[in-house]
Amino acid sequence: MSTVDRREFLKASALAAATAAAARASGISLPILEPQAAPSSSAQALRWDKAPCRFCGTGCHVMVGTENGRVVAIQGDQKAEVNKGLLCVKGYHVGLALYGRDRLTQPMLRTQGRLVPISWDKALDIVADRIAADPGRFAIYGSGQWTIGEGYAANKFIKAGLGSNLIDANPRLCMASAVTGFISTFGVDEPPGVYDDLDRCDVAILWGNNMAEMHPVLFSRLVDRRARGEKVVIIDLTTRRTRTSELADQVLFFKPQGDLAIANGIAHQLVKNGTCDTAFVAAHCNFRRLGEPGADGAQPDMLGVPMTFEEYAKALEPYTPQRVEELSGVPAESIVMLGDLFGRRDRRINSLWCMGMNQHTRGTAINCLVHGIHLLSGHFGKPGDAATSLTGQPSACGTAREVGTLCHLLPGGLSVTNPGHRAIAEKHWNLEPGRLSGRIGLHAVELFKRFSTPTDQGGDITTVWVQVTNPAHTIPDLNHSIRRKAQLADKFLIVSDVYPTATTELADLVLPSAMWVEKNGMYGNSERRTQHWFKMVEPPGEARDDAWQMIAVSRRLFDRGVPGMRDKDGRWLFHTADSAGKEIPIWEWKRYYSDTVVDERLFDEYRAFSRHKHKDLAPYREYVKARGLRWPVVQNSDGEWKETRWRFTEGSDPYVAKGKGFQFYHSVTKDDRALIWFRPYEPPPEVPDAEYPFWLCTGRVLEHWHSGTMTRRIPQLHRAMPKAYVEMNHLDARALGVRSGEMVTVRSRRGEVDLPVWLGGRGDPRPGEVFVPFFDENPLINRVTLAAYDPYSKQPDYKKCAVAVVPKA
Amino acid sequence: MMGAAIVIAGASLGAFVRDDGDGKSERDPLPGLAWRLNTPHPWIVPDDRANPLAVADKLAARAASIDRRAQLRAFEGAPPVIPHSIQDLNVQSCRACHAEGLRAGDKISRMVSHTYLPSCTQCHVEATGFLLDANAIPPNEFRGLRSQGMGGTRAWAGAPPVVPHTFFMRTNCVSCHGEFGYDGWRPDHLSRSNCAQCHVPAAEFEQLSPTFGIADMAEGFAPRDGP
Amino acid sequence: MAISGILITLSHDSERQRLACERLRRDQRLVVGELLGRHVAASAVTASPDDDLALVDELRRADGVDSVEIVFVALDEHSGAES
Repeated sequence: MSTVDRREFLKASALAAATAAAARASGISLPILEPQAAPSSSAQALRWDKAPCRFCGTGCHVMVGTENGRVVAIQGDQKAEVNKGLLCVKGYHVGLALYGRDRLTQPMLRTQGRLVPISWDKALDIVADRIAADPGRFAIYGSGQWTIGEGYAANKFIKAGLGSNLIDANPRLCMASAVTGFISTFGVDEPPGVYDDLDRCDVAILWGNNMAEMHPVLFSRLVDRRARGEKVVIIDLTTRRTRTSELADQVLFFKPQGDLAIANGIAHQLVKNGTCDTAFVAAHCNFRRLGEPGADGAQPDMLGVPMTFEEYAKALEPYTPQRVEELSGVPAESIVMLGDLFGRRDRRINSLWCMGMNQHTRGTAINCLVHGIHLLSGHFGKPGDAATSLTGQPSACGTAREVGTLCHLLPGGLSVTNPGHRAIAEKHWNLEPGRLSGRIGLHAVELFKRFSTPTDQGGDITTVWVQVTNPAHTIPDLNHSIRRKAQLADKFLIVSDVYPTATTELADLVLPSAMWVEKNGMYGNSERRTQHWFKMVEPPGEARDDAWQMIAVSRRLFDRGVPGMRDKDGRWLFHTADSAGKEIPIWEWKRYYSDTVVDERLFDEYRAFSRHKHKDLAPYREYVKARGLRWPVVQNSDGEWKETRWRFTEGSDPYVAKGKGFQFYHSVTKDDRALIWFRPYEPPPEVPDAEYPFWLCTGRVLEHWHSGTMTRRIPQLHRAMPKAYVEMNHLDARALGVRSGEMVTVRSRRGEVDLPVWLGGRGDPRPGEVFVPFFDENPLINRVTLAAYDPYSKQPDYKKCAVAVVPKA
Repeated sequence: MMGAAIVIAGASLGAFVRDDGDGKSERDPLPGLAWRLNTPHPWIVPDDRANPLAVADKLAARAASIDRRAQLRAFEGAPPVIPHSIQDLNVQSCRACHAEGLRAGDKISRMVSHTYLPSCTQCHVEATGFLLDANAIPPNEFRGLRSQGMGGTRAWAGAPPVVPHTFFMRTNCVSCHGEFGYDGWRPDHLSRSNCAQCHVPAAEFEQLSPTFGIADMAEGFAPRDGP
Repeated sequence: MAISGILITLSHDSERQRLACERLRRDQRLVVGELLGRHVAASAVTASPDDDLALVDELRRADGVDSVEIVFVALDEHSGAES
């Protein structure tokens, strides 16, 4: 090589190196690989704001990175107590949920079978027309994904505005049995324990709860302790092997419904061995059982009748380890082991559950029984000793349970059937006495049954407004419920949502909604933590807040003179004034965000309700500053708002009187005591037989959240878990002659779907059982499930029914 | 043959590697330059010798690695997806290859970048799941934040480069910058184990207090960042 | 003889950026690449390492130039001789 050549070569190399550097520095990708076009990042434009995650009830906080009006990144919030900087794969990808290409961006009316765009003005007029024409046949079906403000607006709209209780929400399908369990035991809803128990327990017992996939961040809060050298024993009570089982110390398989027997078996051991915490029980508990059924066969009252300890002990006598083994399939020695474990005072035990115990035709019973064994053994109210239900939705607690967007509740845990409670609500809402209805409305399953029945055959619900949920995917036994609506011309379905769903497919009117950080909002998680976020980006197209939609319809009804839309002084129910007393027209979208913070107005009005059941909430502005606060949040003498960790425990809960130790101040028996219930084992309503030989269990998977409408639009999550499947034991597969990937029909008495088989996949069911995830809207597994529900919580059982599995020819 | 050449290279950092062509000389012909540009050098290793092509290749490799890394992530900071199939019910098997990192043929298993957390599949999912029909992936218009690499910004020409990503969950620098790390990302001073002594994370990736808060409310709310 | 690759970052101000770019292109010591964002690559040929550093210092002081970084240097000790 000549010097000149070499010099030219070096010059070219020098320029190439500098060009490569310039290209990188300027944010221009070299044409080597071309991933998706990225915005060029500059530190000045990127902002980070806090928000709770959009998905499950864990309530992780995320930091949302926005740039040029778009979400561009998500981080776990390191300041958040719940997740301490960590997220699950859904949480890391939550920002992508906003940007599926098929977002709904304009109102659409079904016209000759097709959804045709219309204006917001027209859409709101149609809603107002439907309601005004027959307000008694109009119902709202909402969600544990409603923000607190949205749920409050809807609840006030129907209960104060229309004087009916025709509102229910999807937590009915999800959390209702936990609610009845807490109310039966403590007289008031929601867990006494907190997530801190996960950090402090010696033993975690998971009752039918695949926590590794459903509450991954809480599960890692538990198992990551092992990486720090701590010892925590995990006992997995389950019907199928899951990822949770992989990290459990003991995996105890039980037959569907066997949980009732196991809990009774543990109680029996405690009594027989004399290892009950007699001092705790004597000071703080009463015993309880159900009364006799009514003369007409009516269910006995949920709050039951007293029983003595001796009667309780006698009722437990049949639940010997051997008998429990027969009923549950769990070996007798494991029942003895669990009994011994609860009998030890030197172990902190945290029981955790979610849908396994709640989606159960004896959901109230099993919830009561698990609380019962914790109370009986004194594993209550100390750090690490708790029985805690987890929630599936980000605000099942904050909105449905606390705001009371259910057919039997008023805000703040008040009851529609209690005249005193109605009077309180009438006072807060400035209504004339007697405005509120004392008649319980319709729970979810019944509501959609009426909606799907011809009006002249008792189907007395003709218009339903669905917000933030997807009932045509998630209601059980779909073929005999909402999906029949398609054949009923006089029924009208209004759906506010962000994407096309199985429900918009049936809708007559579709309203495009803003989601998550496209609006202000608050959620309440599983540990009583109320969380706040601000709007960070604009919603796409004409999408607008759900609360605004409700408020705008209310204003139209007010303008038409519908009397319920005014308070007793003639003012509109959502009247909002500026500091000079001048009304702000929040029903106009362009004024909704510009003149006030409607979310704050709604919350601070709602807050007044929170005092009555000691669920005290702080002012809105306290939540702006915090990574959530756990109620009761009480202001102390120096003005600081202080949250509560262990409820009913002295020193932690400000409402427990000094010297009491523990005080159940909403006690059913009005004596500051909790109730230890006896509830017998009872068989499930449908069991496998020769014709339908398999148990079917349905549930979630890690990647997808509920009906998948958000997560299935996120490429990373969709790619990892693209479609539904049926999981079965390899022995059953061999007997049927099917292999992984082959199609089968899963059929029940109610319907059938075709699914590919997955063997040795995400989970491994026991012989005789199959599992199907419900996220996929193509094979809707809820065409197959059973609509039977718990008599008290009215929550359906998606976890067990009988099916046949037939290979496709 | 080629004369003794000294190559000083280092995009955006003026790092200093010298060589006299025969690989033997230890003399430093340019003490002034060395002093001025004496900063650790992120991708040129001493055995690169005096081949300018190698340097240019390194630059290209480095840029390619940035893009390659981005392909497994929805945005800078997202947990990478798993580019191979996994045993669904044996998540602990991840440790076999990723605890220490290893090379098998042309495949590299990177060492875990964070402290060991037992529930690997909480954050990392397969890029290609069972039954995937790649044609059926719904289009998504999210455009994620991307790290531009190249040491982010620096205070002055000779300053140690700023880390173009957060340290959270990336405390084990060796994962990407060590033996089983990315092409073009290995520094010549791996033996200096305390990376954070000289390299600080870029502020734009750090979690600051929420930038919108109560103060804004007091002045009346206006949605920000509107298009 | 010193041959260096230089990354020059120009001002955000578009007018000053344009003028600086023109000035760079007129400089006989430099071969200037295309403008990428506000970054421009150049190679410089100078008689000695000291001249190279002097050039870089001069560029750093120039109007419209925010920063200059050396990304590549080759020093040819056998300048002028065939090998």
